[in-house]
Amino acid sequence: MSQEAGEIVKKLTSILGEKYVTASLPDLIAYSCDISPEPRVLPDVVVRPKTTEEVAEILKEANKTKKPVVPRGAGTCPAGFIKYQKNAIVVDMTRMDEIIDINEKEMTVTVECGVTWGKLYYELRKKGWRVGSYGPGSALSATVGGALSHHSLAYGCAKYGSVSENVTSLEVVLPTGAIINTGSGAYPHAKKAQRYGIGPDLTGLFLGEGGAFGIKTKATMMIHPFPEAVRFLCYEAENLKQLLDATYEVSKTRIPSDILGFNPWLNNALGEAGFKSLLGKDYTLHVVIEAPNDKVADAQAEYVDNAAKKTGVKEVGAEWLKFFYYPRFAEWWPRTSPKGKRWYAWCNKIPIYDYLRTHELIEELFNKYKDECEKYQLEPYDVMYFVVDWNTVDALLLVYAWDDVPGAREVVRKMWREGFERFVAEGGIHYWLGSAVGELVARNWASEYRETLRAIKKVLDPNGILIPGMLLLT
Amino acid sequence: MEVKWKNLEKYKTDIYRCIRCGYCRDQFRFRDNVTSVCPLRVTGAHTFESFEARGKIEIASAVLEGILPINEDTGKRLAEIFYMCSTCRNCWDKCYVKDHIDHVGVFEAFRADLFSMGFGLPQHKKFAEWTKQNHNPYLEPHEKRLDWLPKEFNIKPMESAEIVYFVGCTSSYRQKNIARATVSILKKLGVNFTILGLEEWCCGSPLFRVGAREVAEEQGRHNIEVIEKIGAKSVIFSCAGCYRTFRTDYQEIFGNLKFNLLHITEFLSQLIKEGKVKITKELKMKVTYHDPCHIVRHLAHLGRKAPLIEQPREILKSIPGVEFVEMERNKLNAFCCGAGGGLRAGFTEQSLELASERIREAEKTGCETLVSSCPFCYRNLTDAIKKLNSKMAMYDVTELLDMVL
Repeated sequence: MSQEAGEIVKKLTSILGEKYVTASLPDLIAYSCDISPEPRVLPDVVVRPKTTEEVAEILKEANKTKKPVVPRGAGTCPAGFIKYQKNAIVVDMTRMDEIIDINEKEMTVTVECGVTWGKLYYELRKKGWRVGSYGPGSALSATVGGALSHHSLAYGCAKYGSVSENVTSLEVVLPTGAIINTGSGAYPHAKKAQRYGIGPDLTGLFLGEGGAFGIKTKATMMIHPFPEAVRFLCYEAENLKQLLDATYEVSKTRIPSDILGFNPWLNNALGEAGFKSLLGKDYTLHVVIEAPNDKVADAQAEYVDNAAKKTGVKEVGAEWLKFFYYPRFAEWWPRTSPKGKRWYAWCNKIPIYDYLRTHELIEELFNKYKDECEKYQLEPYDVMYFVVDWNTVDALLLVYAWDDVPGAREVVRKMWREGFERFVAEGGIHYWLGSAVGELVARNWASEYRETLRAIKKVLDPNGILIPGMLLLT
Repeated sequence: MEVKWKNLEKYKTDIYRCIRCGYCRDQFRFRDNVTSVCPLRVTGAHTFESFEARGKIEIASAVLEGILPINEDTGKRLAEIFYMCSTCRNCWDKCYVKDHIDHVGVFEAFRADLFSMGFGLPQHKKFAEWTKQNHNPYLEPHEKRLDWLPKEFNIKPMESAEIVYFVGCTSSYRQKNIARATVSILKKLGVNFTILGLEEWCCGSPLFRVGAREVAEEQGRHNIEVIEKIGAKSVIFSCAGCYRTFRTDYQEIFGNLKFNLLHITEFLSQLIKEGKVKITKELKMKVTYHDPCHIVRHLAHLGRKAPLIEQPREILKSIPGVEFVEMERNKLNAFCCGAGGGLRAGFTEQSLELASERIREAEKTGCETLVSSCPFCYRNLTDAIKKLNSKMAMYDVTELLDMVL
């Protein structure tokens, strides 16, 4: 350990006690990766605070020596957030995992940001409630704070948008150590039930910024009654154009909570896994309708069904959809290949019909790397998309790899970076803001937008200690 | 000190299949009633991610890649990290990777290599050395192994019989009540059985778990030899740990065994189904059951029907007057008692906290009786009952059945 690291460990220990500060190499290695193909990056120190005040003290201490600070949720960023940990104090937020208040009267829930979406879902479900969008694909282990920093989305996002749309108020520790509340929480006499109406929307400033403007310690979110009735619709399309037509018509009804479009590979993979109705299908559309009772559910299902069928798609069995839906947070796509290889993923948000172009881009990318994929036993697949906020689809592609094949991970990384570059160049809208995506996005900002955000960062973080490099703001 | 990862190397494929999703550390699933994964994370014993399954897998890959030098400091820290685990295998059960990553296999291999390099915990080294000489990890003289056996049972060890009852060290030296209840039941049911007496050596379970593999294999080799000498067709176990060790470790090391293996709950529930058990009395008790990891999650990879989940419940439900209530975390999701994997010896306080968490969960059922089918669980849970001044009464499933026969 360097002398500088030794000093900071001593000071952090005086804040948190010995038990929750480590600079031991085996501990640092456990924190050295996320789920992206990026190489390991070691922090200098890891700390696990329990309170907002402790987080504030850590930041104040870091400012004294301009030591970088990087908050960490579950470490499940698929886009290389890990890069920013170099020589930093990593603040592991997972001890702050309390569900502080499920307020049924005000229809809000207030949580500490280190809680997982899985735990939040579990506790709300027991009382007959839910948040709108349930969290990211890794919701069982991903934390609320991490997902809010990335506008994460997955389950329920056709109807409810990204997780950020749930939020009414945040408690944030600014990089200087000051603690602020946003939304109606900024107003001492008001309850944290409304995001807007007390001035500018500072809540939004701390959402989807990759954590660069402050460490979120508490979040208040809207909750909805858990649906009593659910209907599942599944269709087969003859080609991609027809699939997108059906997606568009179904989205326009503004009824379903989830709308998913599957490409041939996923249909066959699931078909071979036992969901026979998908076997041999090229393109399929999967629709979930949640309603307060059977009568409403039936009426809505009929309406959506008519909208879908006017595009010529044919109904097929929805066994997979039921299997996916009921356990909640089941995987939409297999994270390991049938042979057991591990996955690395890309995603890319675009308006529904732009998916045609994305599909071409993906094919071009895979063709370019065909020989290398063969050489390094990589299996790339164009997998699926899901609808976000009615008008957009989030396209998902992945590559399966054996991590212990020498050179394989490097090829994945090269291909993965090039994929993101192509998507951004063609107007892809992202939300995974790890280094691989965040920096690309930031390079493509209009210059005035960039300068405005940099000026805000300078005000909030004068020493530039919080996640230096994130979105190229420092 | 020579740094060698010969055991860990065998798990390279498992290590590199980890997708780092973190479902092995934290997972809540409403429909499947999953409310936690790693028990030491739940009780707050684990301070950093390094202690949890995903972190340990990452460390394992780092040592194989040679980027984590092993010296006094790192070796000691690695021992703390890898031994502060009850090897309950819930991480395996909740793993989303196809065919699951064998987390506990990786941890035990890592421990074995640490042990060989001299980084085993002092408590573990001590019981490994003792077992080599005295064939038990309790630091008891071998000649006292039969002290649990009352003369009135009139059993001569090593007699020719179709069935061997393998008593195990914990029932021989500590939870003698379980050995006595088991033998009492077998006698009442007229089962033709014998015991190994002083020829019974430690099954090796605690040694396999902490990485003292050579001593463990020596014990195992001897046990197999004497059982084969008797010519028994089946071996019955009242200890979940011994049963699992024969069923998994022995078969892996020594190949297929020439005799059948039955846990006592398997054996008795089958007799009950066949109508061969005459229950003559009633027990007015509200009872909950603690599933031992050894006979549930540690058998789950052997097939859907391999975990002994229903058998103990069937025995309890067959007893007139018994009202059975499940704890919130049960069967494959059961919360570990904290005794296993060398945790009780290595990290006593943390081990007892797990047992205390389990007792508090049992109390929430409104039951006054907690039953299990493993002497080591029994032991740790009993200690937690004392620590908490709980009114819970602890029994082994054999004790309850013995009362009504």
